[in-house]
Amino acid sequence: MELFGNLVDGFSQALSLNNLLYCFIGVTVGTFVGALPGIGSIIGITVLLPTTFYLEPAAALVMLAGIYYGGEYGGSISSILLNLPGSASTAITCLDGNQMTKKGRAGVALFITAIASFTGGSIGILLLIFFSPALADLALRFGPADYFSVMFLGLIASATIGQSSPVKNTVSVVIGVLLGLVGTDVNTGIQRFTFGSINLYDGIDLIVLAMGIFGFAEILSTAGSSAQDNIRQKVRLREMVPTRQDLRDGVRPAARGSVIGSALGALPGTGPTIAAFSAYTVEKKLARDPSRFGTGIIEGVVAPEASNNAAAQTAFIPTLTLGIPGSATMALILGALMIHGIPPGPALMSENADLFWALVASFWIGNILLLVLNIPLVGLWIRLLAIPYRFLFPTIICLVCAGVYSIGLSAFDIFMVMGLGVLGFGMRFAGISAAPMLMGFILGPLMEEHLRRATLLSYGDLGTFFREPISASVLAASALMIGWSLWKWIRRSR
Amino acid sequence: MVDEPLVKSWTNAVTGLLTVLVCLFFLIGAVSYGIGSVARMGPGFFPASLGVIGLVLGLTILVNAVREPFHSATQLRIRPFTFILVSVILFALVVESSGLIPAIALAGFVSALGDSRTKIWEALALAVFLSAGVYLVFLQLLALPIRAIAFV
Repeated sequence: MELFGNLVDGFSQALSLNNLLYCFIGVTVGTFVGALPGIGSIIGITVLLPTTFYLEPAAALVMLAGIYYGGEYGGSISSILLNLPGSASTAITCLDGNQMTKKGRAGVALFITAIASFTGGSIGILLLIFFSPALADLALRFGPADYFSVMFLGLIASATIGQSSPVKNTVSVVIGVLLGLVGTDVNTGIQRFTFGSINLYDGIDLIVLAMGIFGFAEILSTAGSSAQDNIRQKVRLREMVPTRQDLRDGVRPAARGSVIGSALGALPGTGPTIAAFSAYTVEKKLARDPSRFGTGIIEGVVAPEASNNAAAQTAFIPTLTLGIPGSATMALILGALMIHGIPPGPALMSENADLFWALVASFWIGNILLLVLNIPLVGLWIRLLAIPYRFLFPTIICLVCAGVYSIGLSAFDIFMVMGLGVLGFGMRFAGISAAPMLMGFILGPLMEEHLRRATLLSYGDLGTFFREPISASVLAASALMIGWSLWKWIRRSR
Repeated sequence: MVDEPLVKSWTNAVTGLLTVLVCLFFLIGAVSYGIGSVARMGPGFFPASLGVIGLVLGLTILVNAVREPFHSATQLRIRPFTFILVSVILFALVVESSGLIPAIALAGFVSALGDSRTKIWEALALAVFLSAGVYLVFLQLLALPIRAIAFV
């Protein structure tokens, strides 16, 4: 019953005019950046992060989180209409979604996608509500060795799961951790890697790093590319109504997708993208006639969309209860918590219970707002998607400049973003992903802290990591992951 | 047309080499801060261990330059690349002396010209629109303590 009371409190906070407004801004921006091909929610969050400094922590997080899950809704719009994924997690939706458009069923595809997204999101939120308190209780028993190992697993997962080379991804993690260590060492007061520059005493700013390696690098690599298809399509509300058969076809895939997505979203390293791909693959395997997939069937749209939205919600479970982000976007949300003076970790749920429940309640309100934004107002997004990219990229450059300058009123930060942007571009060119770097940047300093504490407590005995049961089992899982990816890497490159 | 595997192995070799150099740099720095012992770790312990890991990974990429899978997610387009960098440098120089609005107008104008299809008047219109938008959001709505325009 305590849960019920908490939820009522959460809803009454989230429904305050102020929080409702920021939730609305968040999901609107999220849908927009999600729908723009190439620009995902991570860029939206970094660009808007500096504007949240002056907000209440709850309002700030409600808005930033809204951008994240709103992006999952928006991404499917361009996948379906343009055959261009709005974000990586909706890439698989192109297969059947765009085929539906070619058959003249774009309206139905958009409608059913919004419903599937809402279903997935709602199931994810329910799991978040029921599992978080238990997990936070368990996490209160975590010692420093356990924390170190869980974060280690998080970094290993971010490096080994995914498309590109595990070796290069690990390089990305290592560089991220090293950049995270720049600044004054908290234990000894020694300046590390600052070259005597006062600007670096407090370390590299999270926003500066994220804007550089995501926002700026993205613009550098996409600006001036050849003309993109603009939508000439119009979708009328009347055309959106699905048939009874459509709905019947969609129910089971949506349910299975939600379950798969919820599980993968909560695990480290696997986010909405892998969730969407897995849900699609499972549907194809279960189907009586797998060859129908890719021809524009409801199942091929509903399953991945329910899955990535469920994953977007359950991703908050480890972030909010353990203080350990499972993905780069979640690392940013964690950074936002720290910027607002809220220490992430299992204590968050007891010490900042108000914030936690308001945030969870806002997720559901946000999902309802998204339903409105994506069904009756879908025409608006289609018109916005017609803005040519050559006008958008200077806009983003200006927002990055103004945003970064507003953090510390220092031109040094601008040059920093530029340098990191060029680094991010170089990494893309070399086939190194930037997401593991951000994970390393956030988790690195925390890991060092826990490593020092753990070895101090054990009088320098590293065996402590293998004797603590939680730590030992997590390290075993990490070892399995490393072994598996090594085996795959050797086989693939032979 | 350059041979594709050649580009691949060259890019990989340079990536490996740069990784080695960067990690060596951090490793040397870390050692100078003091490694300490496992029981009482110095400020250099953690960065030094990462430096060693990075060094090994960099050498792996270097040695496997030909084998390592490689797919570049991007390509270098000289014109937009240069225009964008110049626009940001201009922003940083102008914002301190003349205020936020002229800096945004300049950065918006120059970066917009990075796309060769954008005409001068389009870039000008975009610059005006962006200055107005940034003024409204950052200075009016968020009331940040930045000068809008300062005459030098």
